[in-house]
Amino acid sequence: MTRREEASLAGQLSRYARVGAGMGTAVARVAAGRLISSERDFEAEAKLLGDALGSLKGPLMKVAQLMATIPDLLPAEYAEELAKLQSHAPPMGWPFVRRRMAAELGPDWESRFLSFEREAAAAASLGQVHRAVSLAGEPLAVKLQYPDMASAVEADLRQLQLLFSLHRRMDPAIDTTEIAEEIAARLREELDYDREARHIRLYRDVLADVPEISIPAVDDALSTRRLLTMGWLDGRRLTEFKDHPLAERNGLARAMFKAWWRPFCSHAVIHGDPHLGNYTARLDGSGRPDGLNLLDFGCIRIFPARFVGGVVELYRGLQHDDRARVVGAYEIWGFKGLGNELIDILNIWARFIYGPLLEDRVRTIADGISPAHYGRREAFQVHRALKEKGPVRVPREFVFMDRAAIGLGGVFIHLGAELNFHRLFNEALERFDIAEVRARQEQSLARVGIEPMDNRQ
Amino acid sequence: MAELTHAPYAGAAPPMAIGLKALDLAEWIEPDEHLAAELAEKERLLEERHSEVYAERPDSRPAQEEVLALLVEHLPRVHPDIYRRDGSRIHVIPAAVSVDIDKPQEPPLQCASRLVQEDLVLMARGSSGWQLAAASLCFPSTWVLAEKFGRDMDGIHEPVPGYAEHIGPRLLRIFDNLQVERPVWRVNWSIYDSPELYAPRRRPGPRVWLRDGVVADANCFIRVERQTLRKLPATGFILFTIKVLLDPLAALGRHPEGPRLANGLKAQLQQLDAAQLAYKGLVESRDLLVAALSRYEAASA
Repeated sequence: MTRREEASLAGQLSRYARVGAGMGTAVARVAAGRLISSERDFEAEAKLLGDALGSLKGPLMKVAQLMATIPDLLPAEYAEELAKLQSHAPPMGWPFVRRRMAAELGPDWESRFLSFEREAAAAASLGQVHRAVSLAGEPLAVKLQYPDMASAVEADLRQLQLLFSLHRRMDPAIDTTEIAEEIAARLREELDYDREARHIRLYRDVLADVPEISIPAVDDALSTRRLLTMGWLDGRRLTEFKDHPLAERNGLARAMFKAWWRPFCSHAVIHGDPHLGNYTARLDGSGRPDGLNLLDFGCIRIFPARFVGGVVELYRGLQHDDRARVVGAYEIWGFKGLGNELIDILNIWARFIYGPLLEDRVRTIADGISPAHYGRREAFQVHRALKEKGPVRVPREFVFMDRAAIGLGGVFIHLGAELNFHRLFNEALERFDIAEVRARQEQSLARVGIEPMDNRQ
Repeated sequence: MAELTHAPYAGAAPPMAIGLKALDLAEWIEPDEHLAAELAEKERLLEERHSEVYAERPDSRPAQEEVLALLVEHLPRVHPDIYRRDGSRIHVIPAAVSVDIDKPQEPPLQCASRLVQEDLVLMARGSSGWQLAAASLCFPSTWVLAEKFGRDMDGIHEPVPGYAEHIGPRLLRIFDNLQVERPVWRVNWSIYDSPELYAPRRRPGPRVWLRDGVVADANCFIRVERQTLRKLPATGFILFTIKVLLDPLAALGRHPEGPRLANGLKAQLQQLDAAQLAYKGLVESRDLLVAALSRYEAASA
């Protein structure tokens, strides 16, 4: 490693620390502002926070994005800035990449590739991706973790705890205890690329019979806990299809719907982070999209099968306006101590999330609403009502379902898809049976080497 | 005497895998005890069948010069017991021959080829892929230089089973991504009924084993090609070297690892699908060969 690189690495790490501290300060100011006055310049503060966070690609960024979807945790203006966060982390330079690769694969690592591009092709969760070609001539995506991410994640989680504890002191509408635990668990999991490799195998297993979805194959011999080598999937960014014919955009949206709901309905598994950057459009020989490439598996959540039952029950309850069924469903979700008023409030949220799935007609997800604002109005309504009637302790499954639904909705809005979401959902639910979901999940997890869920809970 | 030096059939890789490995340049050229005999055979073929064993495109000359220069530098340095440079001559000591490397009328690739057992093939990137631009090919394993010369990789590999769907795109990627500083090598195998090194075509009619009704030491040879790929730094051409190693089946009985090698070869033969069997010319004789290999497996069991 050159001296300059050492300096820049040290700089990068100290930036993590600085931003962490800055975050705490910003939160303190928010908290103070809340107490003292309601006349605050949210936009300016949000900009400040965004600037501080936008300069890095660390775990904190993901946390920030997650937090932006939790009503009341941050003011809307913060959420807006956070939603814009892009990856601007200084990439690891070549001498440093060589050193990191040698640490993962041994000093002769270069001889295990036919070629390896020196420049990173993309930033990734907690690392960066290099293109390479295997000795069998296969194109590869090599995801290499930044150094010392474990301690960076722990540092960020401490900041996060601080933020959540401040939040709890603000008389919140939502009790975030379980949310904090869930975020911490998923972030720590994301450090472990070996686990991500098993998640990839799980998705290949679950979606094996869906030809419109491609999932990379993992090259185990070239992977470790901090290095993940996969097949490179050629594709184009979904953002490039905005002006394409509706049929193409609908095709992509249908594949996206399947890619997300199918694993949930059949195996109780979800991709917790369905945003545009985690997918590309697969093209046929003539350059038209004929499917979807799934690229990132760092944020997979495996649920107990009974939780899928709760999601389906809530859907059926809303569909048939059956209040008892709805209440039963919330209990399966893990909401506790629900009175009638709280149930009404949760129903506002549920009807928003399930809305497109309830109406048997071709529609857009939400006409005229931008991805950044999608769900904001309902969140505000729910938040205000919870403030009066709450607080409510939000179960840990909720955070990823909620984020995923909003992320997925954002992609559909971006594509301008016009589909009968009701029919798509009901196709995914065909012959739905919890016992079968449980059995399928157990079999798939065993096949790919992931410890089983405790379904008896 | 070294026998069965390379045994690509004895590993875990499926038959006909591309199976490249990084090449240590110190092992680029692999002279062995057959050097003198094979150089003599090359001389004979260059003399008697020149148009069948040598072809070149005029624009390949700079790359040919580059190949010759690389070999002239490499051989005396890495194999000083075998090669000695003396002005414009390279002495090949075990073969008691000396090659003039500065003969203006001789194509440099042909001159280079007279130094080594390896056949030398130059590939050039064209608009439609990599084309065979020049070759000194004295020991072809069932391919005819004149039919492949000037053609691109798709044309060259047309008969290879699964080429268009699987192998072609990968091969193109390998050639396009080959790095000057990271040469590679591989080995493949086939089974021949003759010890001829010059074997551009299969003899018409059934294989000798079927005619004789038996697989015998005198009519069965394991033919291994050791191939290296090296991107030339100056011209960007790719040099493809092919060294043929021919061992009689009986070598399995003499080799300390014979039973394991026989077992590997037998397993590979059994894994070949119909198209691969046809490509290797073994459709009718596989079972005979498998039976013969079983004898070597059992020999020390």
